[in-house]
Amino acid sequence: MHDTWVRSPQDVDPLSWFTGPRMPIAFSIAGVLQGIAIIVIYWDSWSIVALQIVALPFFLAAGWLTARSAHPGRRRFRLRDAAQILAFACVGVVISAAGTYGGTVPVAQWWPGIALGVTFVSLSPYCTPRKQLLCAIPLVVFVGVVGWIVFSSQTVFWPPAAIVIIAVGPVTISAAASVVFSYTFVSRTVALLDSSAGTEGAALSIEVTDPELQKGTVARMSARVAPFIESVATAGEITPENRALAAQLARRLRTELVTATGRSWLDVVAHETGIIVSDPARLADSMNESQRAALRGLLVAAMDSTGVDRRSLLIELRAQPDGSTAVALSIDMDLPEGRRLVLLAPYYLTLKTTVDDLSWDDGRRLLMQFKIPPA
Amino acid sequence: MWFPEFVSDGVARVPVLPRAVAAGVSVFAVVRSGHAIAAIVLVVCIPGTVVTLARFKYAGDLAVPLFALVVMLGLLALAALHTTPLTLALFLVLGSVANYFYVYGAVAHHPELLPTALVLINRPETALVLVGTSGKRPLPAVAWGIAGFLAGAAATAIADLQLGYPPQFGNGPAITLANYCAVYLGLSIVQRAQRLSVPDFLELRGETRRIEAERTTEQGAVALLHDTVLNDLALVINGPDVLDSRMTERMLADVATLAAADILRPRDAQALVAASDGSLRNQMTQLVSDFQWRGLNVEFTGDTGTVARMTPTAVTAAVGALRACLENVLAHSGVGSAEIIVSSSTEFVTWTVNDAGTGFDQNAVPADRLGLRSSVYRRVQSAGGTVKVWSAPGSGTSVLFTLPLLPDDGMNDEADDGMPRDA
Repeated sequence: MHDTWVRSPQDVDPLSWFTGPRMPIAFSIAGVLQGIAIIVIYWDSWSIVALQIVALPFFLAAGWLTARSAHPGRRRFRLRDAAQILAFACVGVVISAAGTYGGTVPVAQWWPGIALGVTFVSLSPYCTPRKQLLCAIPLVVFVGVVGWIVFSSQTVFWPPAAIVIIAVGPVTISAAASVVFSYTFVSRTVALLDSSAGTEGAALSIEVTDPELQKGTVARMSARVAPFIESVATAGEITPENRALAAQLARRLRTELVTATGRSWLDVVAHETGIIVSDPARLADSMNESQRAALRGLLVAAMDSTGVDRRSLLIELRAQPDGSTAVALSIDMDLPEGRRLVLLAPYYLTLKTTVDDLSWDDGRRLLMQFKIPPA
Repeated sequence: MWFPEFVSDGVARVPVLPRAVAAGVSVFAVVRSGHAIAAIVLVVCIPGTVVTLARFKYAGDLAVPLFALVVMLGLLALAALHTTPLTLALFLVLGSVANYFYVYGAVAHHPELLPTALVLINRPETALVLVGTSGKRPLPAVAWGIAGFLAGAAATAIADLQLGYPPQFGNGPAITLANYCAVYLGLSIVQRAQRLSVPDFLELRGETRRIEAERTTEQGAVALLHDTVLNDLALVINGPDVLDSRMTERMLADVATLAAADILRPRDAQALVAASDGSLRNQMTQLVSDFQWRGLNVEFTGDTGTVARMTPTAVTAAVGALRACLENVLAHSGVGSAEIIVSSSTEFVTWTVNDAGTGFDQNAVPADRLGLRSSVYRRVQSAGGTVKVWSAPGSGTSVLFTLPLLPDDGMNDEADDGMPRDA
């Protein structure tokens, strides 16, 4: 359970949070729309309404920053990323507070609290519960202090403590909801992933021993030779022509058998897709089933895309001194960034869960590098 | 970073959950966070009510509002810890009654609290909006939330009217409902988009296994050819001009071995496809009807337009496995509904049976208990399929099984009987 606090929903299930850059931006737009509605409803109650309007873009910018930091090709979401995003939103809170002080807007309708809460919620898929708690505590204190300064002299109905509680309400509730969401998602996902282990082996053995497959392979490889041997055996004599043909067939068959023996799983994929594989040490077979499935999915998706130069796809595997295997994949893609993201990110994210140090260089020529840990 | 926990006891686990299962986890987590918000709202409402009434010298009138809040917290706890349609309905119905007593008790003799204290008085009504759902899909949560909003508003209106005031709701419940609906609708849209753009990792894994199986088979074939044909060719190259009977017999025996490995396409099975497909549809319909009569509401969704090119063996396995899954839901899950999601590729058809029931710990099932092991695993695996089960106490159960389809080479068109072919 301790592990649950230091892993984000994106860590344990990256595919659920692959929504392009839209989700955090959609959240920030929703928060800003609520802010606009409240600004308009209480138009005459703000001390400086222009400052409310100036504050709005800071929350939009926070949403944009979140989307940028959560981009599939970027490094893991850090505490510093969350702090920067929330700091940006806090600037909006301060600007709005300056335009609220001395006005008559009720503390319960102070919109920056809601917008800040929405910004916080938009971080929850990418941020660990522990990081959220670390951000939430100073954030609640900050909003409480600002709320008390702005509203304490405004009303006699609520005591000061109640003003602070009402002001921090949206942020506190958002933070609590975010932490509960992330913790629940991570713990439940890990439990379900663990529960799936142990149900794999039996199914694999059934498929591997498929007799039809074996019959077909033998028939294909012996199609030219079997009739020849049968004719020689039936005749009971070996002619010089038989010996010459047998030598020719043996040479071809031996070449075919040697090729088949030395073929890695990646060579089979290369045969399917036409990609170029450089794997002199036959390191591809050190990849486990999940890594193979994720990499193959990525390759097939790239090859199926119309904007991809199929001949340009190259995979190189090299042994590293620490026993790991370095893999580099390069491909020419003539696709706009948005389409490229939609096409490849799900496969990239799946691959990311199975290998080390995956990096994505997103120019016109897409470059991916990762390491397969030693077995 | 590398996640070593992806290997457990030497057995690899899937790195990502199937989308249908992950979608259920997302909904569950959102429901839980909604319940957490409702709990905070109600807890904060207790000191808020005490301070406000005490400030106006009405501390003697605290008993009824506080009791109402405690009752709502109890109902919320029940709904959060044991989330079923019944506990959610109890939260809405009895929670609305408690809301009525809270509003009546707090405002009865203190009209001066309105409208400033509405932000406090409508908190229980706000909590009712955050009811959530007991299922694994987001859209029913919207219906539950609207029901909670209306129930809370009705209780407030009745209390206000009985006291002789016009109904006053404040903005809180409406804003909460708008945000609540936006979250669940957004989740629904995202999940729908993901079903189209995100790969089915289990399918990818199955194809990878197929490649590996072919490669392994090819290695076996290489060994066989090496032991037979290459030796025979060497004999022809280097042997005597006239073969003796022992040599001839060996060569013919090798050819016979190879001939036995000739491809035998299952033509007879192909001819049975049309009948199997119709049989599958009929049996599925009958199955759903049977369970609905027995009190289990079964919902069929997903790729229901799939043509099920399955052998009769696979059809029997599919129907038997589905029946076993639904029996388990009926007998053990504690809920009255289940969802069957069908999806397919060119090579496989997959059924996912979801329930939002009590779930179970798979590691705690005794080895001598057959259950899913015999009724689903062996049945599906004997037909060439695979099974996966996701379950944990309190989180429902998802059983996913995949069966192979026969190759579609156009033969099925001839057998078309003009009927829709739903899997």
